[in-house]
Amino acid sequence: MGEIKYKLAVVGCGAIAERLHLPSLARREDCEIAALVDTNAARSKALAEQFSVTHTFTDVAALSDLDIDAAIVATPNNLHAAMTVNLLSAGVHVLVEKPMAMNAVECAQMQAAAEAAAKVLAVGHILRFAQTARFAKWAIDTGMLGRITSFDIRYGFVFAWPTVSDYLLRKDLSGGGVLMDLGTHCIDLLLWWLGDVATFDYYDDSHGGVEADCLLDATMECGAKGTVELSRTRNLRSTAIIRGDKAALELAFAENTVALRFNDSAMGITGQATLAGEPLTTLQRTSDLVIAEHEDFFTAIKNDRPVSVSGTAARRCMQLIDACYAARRPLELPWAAVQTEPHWRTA
Amino acid sequence: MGCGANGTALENSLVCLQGKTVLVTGATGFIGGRVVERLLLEEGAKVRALVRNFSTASRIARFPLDMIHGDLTEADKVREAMQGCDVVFHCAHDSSNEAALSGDAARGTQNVCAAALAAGVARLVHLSTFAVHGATSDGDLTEAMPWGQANHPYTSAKRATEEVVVKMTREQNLPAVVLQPTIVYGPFCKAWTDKPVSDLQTGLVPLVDGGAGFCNAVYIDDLVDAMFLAATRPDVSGEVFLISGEQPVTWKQFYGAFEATLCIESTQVVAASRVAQMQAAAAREKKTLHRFIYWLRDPKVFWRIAKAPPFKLAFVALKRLLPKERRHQMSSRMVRAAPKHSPSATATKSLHVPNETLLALYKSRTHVRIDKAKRLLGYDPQFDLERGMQLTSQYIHWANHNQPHSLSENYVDPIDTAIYLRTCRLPEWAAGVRRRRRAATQYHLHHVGRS
Repeated sequence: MGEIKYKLAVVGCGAIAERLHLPSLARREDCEIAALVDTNAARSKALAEQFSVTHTFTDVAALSDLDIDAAIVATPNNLHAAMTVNLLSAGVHVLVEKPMAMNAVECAQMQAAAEAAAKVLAVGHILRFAQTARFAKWAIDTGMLGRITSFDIRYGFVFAWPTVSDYLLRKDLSGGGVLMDLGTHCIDLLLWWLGDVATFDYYDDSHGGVEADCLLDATMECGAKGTVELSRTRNLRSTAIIRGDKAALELAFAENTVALRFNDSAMGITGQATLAGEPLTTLQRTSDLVIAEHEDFFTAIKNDRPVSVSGTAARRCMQLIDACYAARRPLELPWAAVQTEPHWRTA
Repeated sequence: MGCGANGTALENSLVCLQGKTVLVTGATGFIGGRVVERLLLEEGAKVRALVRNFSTASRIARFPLDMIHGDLTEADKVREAMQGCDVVFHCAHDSSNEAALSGDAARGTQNVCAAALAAGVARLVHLSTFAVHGATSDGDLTEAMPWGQANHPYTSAKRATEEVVVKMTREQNLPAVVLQPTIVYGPFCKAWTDKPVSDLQTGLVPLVDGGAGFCNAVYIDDLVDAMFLAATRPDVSGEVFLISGEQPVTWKQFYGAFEATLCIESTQVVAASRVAQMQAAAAREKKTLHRFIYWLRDPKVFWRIAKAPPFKLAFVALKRLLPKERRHQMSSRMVRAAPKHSPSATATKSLHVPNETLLALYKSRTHVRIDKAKRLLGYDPQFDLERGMQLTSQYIHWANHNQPHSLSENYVDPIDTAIYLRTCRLPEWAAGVRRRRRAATQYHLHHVGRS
């Protein structure tokens, strides 16, 4: 075919690069993984061997000799902005993992760099590629649910991400806890579905570290009211419910399942969301979402069209996260509070 | 927060934990997690945690603490973590049988003790268990009584680790205190909170001999009080203390409190002799070809096996043989969550047959005495079962139950894989499937096939 093969670098060789990005990229015919970058040389060398990558570096600056076309930034969150800005300025298209950066200010810098270099900047909010989430967007936009009155989003599971380092648990490296992590997905979807937030209250259980549980009560500009609850310590139902004055829709985050119930009827339906040309499946594997995300990224580069999750969308999501942390109130966990006047001190 | 009130501090003794550097092993666990929480929220200590697996550290990562990556069997990591520490709470224990058999549990403790000695810590509090006493007789149990018979790997491992601590205390003047807590319950407790909840929800819990046996329960915060006292009281190095609540409750009261929290009735009075028969039957079954199926009856075992990669593939392949809609129902989280409280679920509940150790615990009328801890530590438990369960219930409801209802909550899966897994009455289940298939076919012929 003589199709152009993009030279690609993966920056950051943690669990997500190993489990999701590299396997998906290795299957693509329009790109060649030219280099892996990680401060831990042993780690990048091991992955390079596994995925037959020629070059490994410990510093992203070394990439300048390779004439790279595109890069995936999957480093700890605190490095997202600097890495992305450097790469964009060097004329490299970037797909950066979520959360886009540590805060909205960094997001703006990244966006400015992308605009100045006229390169693609995509952000890894992979749930946008889920058929359930797309179905919800369609059901809301077409008025099938009627006027949206409320939403109820609960996403959580006992944390078991096979983290290679402790960065997700360190505020200086991750910027936050579960709100930065699962929250990025949920808040991005919420804003995508229902538009901007008018007022909100935010609670979490951090005491100077990263929060493991949090709760966001919000009223949207469209008038819908609802809750987003996130957890790293509990298995929540991990679905979103969106209620309109005609019908209510529930969709799962970890599988392709949607349930629809009509307000004026006892009838309802449960099933899978489908897109034309895609197979009907109950599975919604993260790996498939990453494949879709890569497809979107490379199509945007090839055809010079916008990506599904642009820096603008991700920045809007980050602005709300920033606002949440700024307005943070303690989450009441009655059993964690001081229970007794310590009798041994007054004895 | 502060130590001002304690004006009678003895010289050369720790009087409070404020500003002290404290190492917690096992900090990602139930007891260690609460120790960390209270050290930071109430005591104003500087906390260091030796963490084997960051994936399990979400609860303690809420606090600004120093997490050091490492395993207790790595002596250099333990030494590094111990540098500059004033107090050590040694809560870690590897509950796996392999660790017990290989002696890793004792080796880890040996490393902790040696490092504590080298670093010159003021106090090491070793968390043992009252299980080290083995089979106890009815009546009072005190620290001074000789240990009874035991053959459970957990007991042997805890005995071995406690012996390491006691030996180093005697021979090398390690300033250590050993605590032997009883049935510790409370938020985030797997064994005596999450498990009773899931046992009551998934089957019937036996009340052996009417549930009149003694449950020496202690609420987590009372135990943590005792640990802080053990860390700060002068002149208690080398002592061993049993730690329990003020009075034992009965097993009927203990499980009754959980039933009340869950608003279900899911206990069944069973004679001890009947349980013994059931155990014997189970043992016989274990010896036969049914062994594998017997094993699979435990949903936890089933899912563990089903989720291991080769089995997962086999399981997925088997699932593919099912009709598409049934397959979907099996894998749907939303649907799976639904039948928990359906009437059919309670109708088919089966009894959780306790193993020998648990049966002995249910039968026992042992009253664990806390007089020594009261006398020497000033231990004064604040939580009776009612007060402890008030907080525990709030945790239970928050943790995994009574979530705002899902849209499909009232939908009952026709195959009801959840019931199948709970009871694993395989022939009945298969008959049910055949019956339902037949009904579905007849329905189809009758209503759809004709058009």
